[in-house]
Amino acid sequence: MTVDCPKPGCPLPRLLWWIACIVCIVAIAGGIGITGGPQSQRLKNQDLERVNRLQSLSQAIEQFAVQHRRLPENLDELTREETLYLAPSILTDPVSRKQFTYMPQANRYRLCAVFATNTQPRQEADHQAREEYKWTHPRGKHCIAFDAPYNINRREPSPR
Amino acid sequence: MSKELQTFIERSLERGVEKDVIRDTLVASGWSGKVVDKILMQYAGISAQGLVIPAPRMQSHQIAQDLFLYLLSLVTLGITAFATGSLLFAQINHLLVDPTLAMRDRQNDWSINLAIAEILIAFPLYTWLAVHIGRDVERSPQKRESLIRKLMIYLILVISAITAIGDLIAVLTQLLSGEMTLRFLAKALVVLGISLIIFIFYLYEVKKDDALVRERLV
Repeated sequence: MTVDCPKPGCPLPRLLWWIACIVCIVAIAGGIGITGGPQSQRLKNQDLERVNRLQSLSQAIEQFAVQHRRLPENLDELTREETLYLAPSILTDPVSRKQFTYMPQANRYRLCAVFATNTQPRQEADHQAREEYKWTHPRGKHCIAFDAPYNINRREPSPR
Repeated sequence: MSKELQTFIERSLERGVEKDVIRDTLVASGWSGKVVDKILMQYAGISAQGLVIPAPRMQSHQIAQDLFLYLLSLVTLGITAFATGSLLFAQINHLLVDPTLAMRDRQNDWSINLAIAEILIAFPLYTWLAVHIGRDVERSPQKRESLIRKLMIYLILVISAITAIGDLIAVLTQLLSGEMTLRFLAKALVVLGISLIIFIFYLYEVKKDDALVRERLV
């Protein structure tokens, strides 16, 4: 260890400070590289809110399907259902305020939204993470598919 | 300030020893002339018989001030070190992706933002404190003998040494269990690096303190 310089004006503490300074700058730059900075954080939070709303929506849809033995025809039908206690704001995108796209099919349904960021992992996720993986999304319009609860009548939704 | 030194000077003055004699005696036994002068300056009284009597000058609130400066620099140093470590850990997680953890790593944004903010606040403050303390002890070398200063420096030395030792033990344990991964090794290096920088920095401070007190001995 090079500590044999115990006179004032020795360059060692200054050198160590510069090393610490460089390490801090590298660490901060790397951190911003990961988070993407404030603007990107805002977009990520918006997407987080979108995913939260879609999760509440899919729970409400499934509850509806269990009670009525069929899928709702559209999202507005959910708000008319008093037992779901669903806030109408859940149906809409938090930024554009447009309603999410809902596409019912025979025994499955899809929920779509326009996302601002990509949250899909760079590598294939393990099986344990599958439930989590379902809620990841690329940038732009993306649909998430769900299986309807098992006890519904396996018919096409009733004609409008 | 060294208690023995103070007592010695006080007693000598009481017995009427000349200031110059006291100074020469102390310097000959290894004390720094600057430190001795500083203490002698605190005694200014002269008796009716022309004898010097130890009349202590008013002391500033040295201990409280030292406690403030050194405690604050200890805390800001700790915040900086931990935040830097956690940022570098996040970088390692980001660069060396572990497939089983790929999903979890994405949720660390908040801790990264916190760490960046911590460094931006704590590191400049620590630097300012270190410069301030450095100038202070340069101007009045007897402050190097401050008990608070000694305690804080040795506390930092002990903490960084324990961190480095624990880090090495963890690496060796991991190695012996055959589970050494690049991720783990990189993180261990980060911890070792940070604790070594701090340890060497303060070890140097200790050597400087010691050297100043014994500068006339060699």
